[in-house]
Amino acid sequence: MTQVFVMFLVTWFLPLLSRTQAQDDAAQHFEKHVRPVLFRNCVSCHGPKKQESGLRLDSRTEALAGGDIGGPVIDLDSPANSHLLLAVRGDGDTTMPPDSKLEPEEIRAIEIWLKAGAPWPTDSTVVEGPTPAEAWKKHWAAQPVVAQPPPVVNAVNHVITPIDAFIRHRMKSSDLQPSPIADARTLIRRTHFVLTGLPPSRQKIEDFTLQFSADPEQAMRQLVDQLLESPHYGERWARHWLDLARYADTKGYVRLQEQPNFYYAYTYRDYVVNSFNADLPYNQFIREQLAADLLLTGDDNRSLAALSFLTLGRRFTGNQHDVIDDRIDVVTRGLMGITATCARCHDHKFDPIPMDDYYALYGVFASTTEPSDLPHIARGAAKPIFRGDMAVYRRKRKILDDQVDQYLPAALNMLRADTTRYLHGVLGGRKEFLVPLPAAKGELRQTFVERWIEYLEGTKRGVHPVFAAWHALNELQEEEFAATSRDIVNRLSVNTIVKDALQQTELVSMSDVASVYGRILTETYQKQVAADTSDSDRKPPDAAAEQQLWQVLYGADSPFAMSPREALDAYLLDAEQNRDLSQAYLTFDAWLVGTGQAPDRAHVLYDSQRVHEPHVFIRGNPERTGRQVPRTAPRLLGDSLSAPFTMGSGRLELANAIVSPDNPLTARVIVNRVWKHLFGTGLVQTTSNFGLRAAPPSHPRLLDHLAHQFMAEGWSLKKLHRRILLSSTWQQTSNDRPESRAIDPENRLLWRANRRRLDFETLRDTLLSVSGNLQLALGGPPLPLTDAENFRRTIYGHINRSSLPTMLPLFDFPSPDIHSPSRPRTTAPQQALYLLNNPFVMKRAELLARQAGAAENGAAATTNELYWRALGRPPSDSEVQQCQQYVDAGGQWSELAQTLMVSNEFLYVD
Amino acid sequence: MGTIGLAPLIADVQSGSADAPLSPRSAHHPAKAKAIIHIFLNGGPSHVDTFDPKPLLKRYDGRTLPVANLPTERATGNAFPSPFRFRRYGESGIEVSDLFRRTAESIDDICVVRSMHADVPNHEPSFLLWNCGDARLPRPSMGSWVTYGLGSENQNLPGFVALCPNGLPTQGVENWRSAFLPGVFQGAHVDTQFKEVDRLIENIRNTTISTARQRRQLDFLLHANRRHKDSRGFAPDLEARIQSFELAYRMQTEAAEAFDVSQETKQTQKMYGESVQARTILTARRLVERGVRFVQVWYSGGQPWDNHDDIGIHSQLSANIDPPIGALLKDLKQRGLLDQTLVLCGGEFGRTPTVELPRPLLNSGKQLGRDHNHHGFSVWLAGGGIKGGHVHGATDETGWKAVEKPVHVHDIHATMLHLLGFDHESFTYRYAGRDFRLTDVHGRVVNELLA
Repeated sequence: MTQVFVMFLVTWFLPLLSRTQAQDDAAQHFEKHVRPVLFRNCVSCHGPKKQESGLRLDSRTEALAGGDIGGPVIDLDSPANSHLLLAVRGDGDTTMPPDSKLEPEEIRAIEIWLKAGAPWPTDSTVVEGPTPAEAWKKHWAAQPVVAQPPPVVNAVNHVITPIDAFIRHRMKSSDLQPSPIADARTLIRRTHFVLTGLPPSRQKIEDFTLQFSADPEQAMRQLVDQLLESPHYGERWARHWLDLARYADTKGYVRLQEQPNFYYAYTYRDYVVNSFNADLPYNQFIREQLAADLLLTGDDNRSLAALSFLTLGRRFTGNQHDVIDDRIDVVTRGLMGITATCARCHDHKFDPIPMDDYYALYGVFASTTEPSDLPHIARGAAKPIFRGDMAVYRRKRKILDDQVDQYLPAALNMLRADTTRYLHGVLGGRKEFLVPLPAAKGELRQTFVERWIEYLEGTKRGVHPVFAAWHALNELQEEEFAATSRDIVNRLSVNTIVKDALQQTELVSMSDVASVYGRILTETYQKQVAADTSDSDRKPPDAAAEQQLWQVLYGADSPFAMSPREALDAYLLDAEQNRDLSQAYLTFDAWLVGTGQAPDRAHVLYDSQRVHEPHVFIRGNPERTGRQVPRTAPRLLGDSLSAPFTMGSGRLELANAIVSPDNPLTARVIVNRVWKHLFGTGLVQTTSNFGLRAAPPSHPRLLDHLAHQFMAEGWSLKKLHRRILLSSTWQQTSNDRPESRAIDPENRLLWRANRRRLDFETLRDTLLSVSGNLQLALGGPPLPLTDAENFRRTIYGHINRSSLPTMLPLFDFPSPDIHSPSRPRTTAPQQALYLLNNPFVMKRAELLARQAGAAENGAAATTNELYWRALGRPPSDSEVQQCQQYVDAGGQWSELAQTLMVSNEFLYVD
Repeated sequence: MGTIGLAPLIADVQSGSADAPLSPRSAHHPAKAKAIIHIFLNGGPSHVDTFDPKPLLKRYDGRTLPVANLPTERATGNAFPSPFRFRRYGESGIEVSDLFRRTAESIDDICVVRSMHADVPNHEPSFLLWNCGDARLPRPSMGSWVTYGLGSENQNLPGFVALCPNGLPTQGVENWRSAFLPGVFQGAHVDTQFKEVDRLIENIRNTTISTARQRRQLDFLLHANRRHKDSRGFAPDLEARIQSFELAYRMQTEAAEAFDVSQETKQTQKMYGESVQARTILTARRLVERGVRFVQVWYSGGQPWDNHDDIGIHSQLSANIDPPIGALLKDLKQRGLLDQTLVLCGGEFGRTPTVELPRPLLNSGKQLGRDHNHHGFSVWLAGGGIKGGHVHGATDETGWKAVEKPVHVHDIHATMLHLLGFDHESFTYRYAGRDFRLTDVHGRVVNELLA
């Protein structure tokens, strides 16, 4: 190897050789001696797969661009000082590779190469594909939604709606024929289940069959209208939405004394049910879920419950970054079918979603807070406080409030008096692995140090009257501090008290600065104490300079402005007090909800006092902040929809960008979701991913036709349902046709209806319904699904994230921890075990047999009743006979009832 | 780049067609291990008191260590030598403390990894990192991944069983969740404080209808379902559901039998011991023997190994679980099962070599315990293609930090998947527009652990 070096050196420094020759040699040197070294030692961490510190060493451009932290690693002007060289030599701040050292000749080879101008021949055969941004411009889901006239097709024996025209047109090109319209019984069952999740009664089936034979179109129109007006429509479709909204009544795993319950989650569930029932325009539905607080008019604030779309996710044991990530996910995948959370750690690999866009949304949600005392929601100016005995309520509340008053102001004052120590703590920075823990009296609370850090970061914007000097001085390097600090202070126009104090002190390091600030703020605090006013009478001092200092300790955006719950979760009180007060809160909340007379409240969030100006977190690590980005909607929506937000957190602007008619995604996504629930699969199969990697729609023009009409008709979901359900396509039979199956085995072209299985909710509701137990009351607090006396619809079951009743996941109920676009359909023997042996099912079977008159009627009459109730049809002669034989041989009617209730005919809808 | 053999599976699962989701499948390459027993000593057992002797701590007993204490969850003080004695075992002569002397009798079948490290010194994220490969986000558990990928050898039992006596561990059911994988792959939690099969497995027995009568009922059902299906032509989903009832019927007898440890000989029962942990581990062996793919054994609910105040409690804990672990290794070997059963044993992290300083409300006034330590700790593996009698890697002289051949939790996952026949980088599931892996973007197979 040495020999090659020598030769190369010779050629490089020989002036006789042409420049090109030298370049070629340098390139060869790179290929032989540098590229392999980089590849073996560097690229696994700094390459296409991983980019530690944001650095890639697999191309010249990337290497010259350098990393997020150290900047460029190649210095062409001064090759010997290139960070790359210093690092491999171990002469710089970092030594690379981290766990081994390069051979001396390898280091030498890199040095030679750098000095030669770091030539890096690219493989000319590599052709770069279009960038995600370029590809997106041509992507089907990125095109504006425009009206699509239905194609002309010949109608034979079928009603042709515009939907049918699109479907037939496509089918024709594959030589497929549609299936005939299903019979009346099939249609009424199918329509009932799909719209309300409940079976039709015998009376309804018989009435409909008559009407259908007279005028099928009219009969279907009436049926659909009637079911869309049923309040049970909202219950059924709300459940679809709750899957998307990862709804639950608890927070998931919580630590120590944290409140584990979302006691008022049900008000969100009811909001969704009511919105579907009222056919609230979908654009308004979205606006309210992101920003209802900013849209309130009049004295009806019930729409505040909509905000729980954001708040009811998992709480990740208090990790705010994860909480925000979950909110970004539910908004982007849930509403627009884009997978933005990939960009938390790196630019999206396939779609044009750079990290900037992720942190643009991060800034929106980081600019919100949740109050400890949730607001009451009701119509009317006077919001009810408690429906029970107010005297009892006041007594209980007073016990809690007294405790808060006794502990919290004292704890905050203790922290104010300790400001000097906390400002010194700030200089120590954030602490790794911080977990809030009970603290002793007088112990420094790292949680509060970090609150100070956050506060100070917020004062960097503009020229803060008090802390501008702090920030300016904090920029100085240690060695220049003593020499330049005075100049800086003299030049700054800041709070006069701060300026005077800084001028009068010899400032050698930031520690001196912290002491000065600490002293002044402590004095401010002491003056307030001396004034001896109660909290409510507290007023800022008159003089401007004093007032600015006072704001730091007592202002609305001060680090000391926090709710009791926040203070407790950060363990700011002394250990015992913290425990006692947390317990007092838990006790009070549990009591209040337990009375059943607590008025409705909503898990809301509001804009924070101070807007969060987001920075990119390098590789998703909040300890490493990169460039600042504006709060905007994702830029793939186009320039007109991604202007920086200016109103508070930007939630309302975000909502408006999402529901803008110019947004190419939102209407397509919801129309496709509705289609999926009506047909079993979507026109786009990945209902929450409309990105570049998603398979295109089976019927692109139909999707656009529906989306366009949906917006044109005021974003009405009921109108959309009507159009789809009244098409011949939806009303086809589900029978197999082998010749068509050979052409389109997955039925993507809809040559028949898909046979559907009841999901868990529909199964349980139907079991309750056919056994005469189902209680159809709407809304209200949840009940445990394991309660044998809970006869309410399943949507009203209590969903505990930490402990779902096992039958829920068993029957494919999705994890409430994440946005769920669709449920799998598994068939497992444990499902059969539940249906065969669970006391809930056994009880339903017993009651069904009783309802069928097993005790008093003859076998034929009982069989007839059983079949009608369970399956919505009369038994055949042979079925009557078999039931008779079963009972004659000693079998019980309840056993027969159970077999019908667990049969495929019961569970599947044709 | 593909998900070999897995794409068809998931299509079947999603369309509900013929193949049962748990029917056995093979992975990318021939597997060394067919089943996994993961013994989770939840709470964080101390490595310097069990599998990683540190004589230096004795020298500095009660004094400041020559290296700075690393950041952990709580403040710790001076060097705290182990109160437990270490001895050499087996031909390999590996040192193990008296806390695991029965386990140590099989040391020549065990590979001790002394250079483990994890990400943070907190239980919750570390539980999830170990069990689901990600410290925070809702990702499927290792058991779900494995049963999703391999199905199970026994269709009459769940493919992934989480045995945890006395309630739920920290982070509860999230430890064995299926997240975005279908719910059928989530771990079936069995609280082994109970003995009666009805209390162990939900819906396993009908309390009102006798088996004979249920058979008649099922025959009626079968007949009705067949007639229903016949009039509808090709319908694999209907057929699969018909089969599932027959499977369920058989499961009732088989599961009851599988969980009944009283069917073991007196000698075997004695070998495992009397504790609830002994019953749990014996159950684990019975399940693996019957083809269950993934059995997780938790010490108990909560996080019992979390001995902040008094490391002496470790000896009460090990007294319950060391004898049955020792018995399990010998028993598996005797039955010829050890070769194909991969056993992993360890906690979510280790503990500090320094003593924890007391905090209000947290240490009951004692100063005899250790804080969490994710910088360095030990786990061990045995069977299923693992190199026995081997120590891999090392912590520094104090036991603070993994310094020699460090192994991350992701690496253990990659290695375990490798032994089961998977290339961990191509064992993926498409969700939310992206291919997910148990090892996310990390992990490497640690070849030195392999036999």
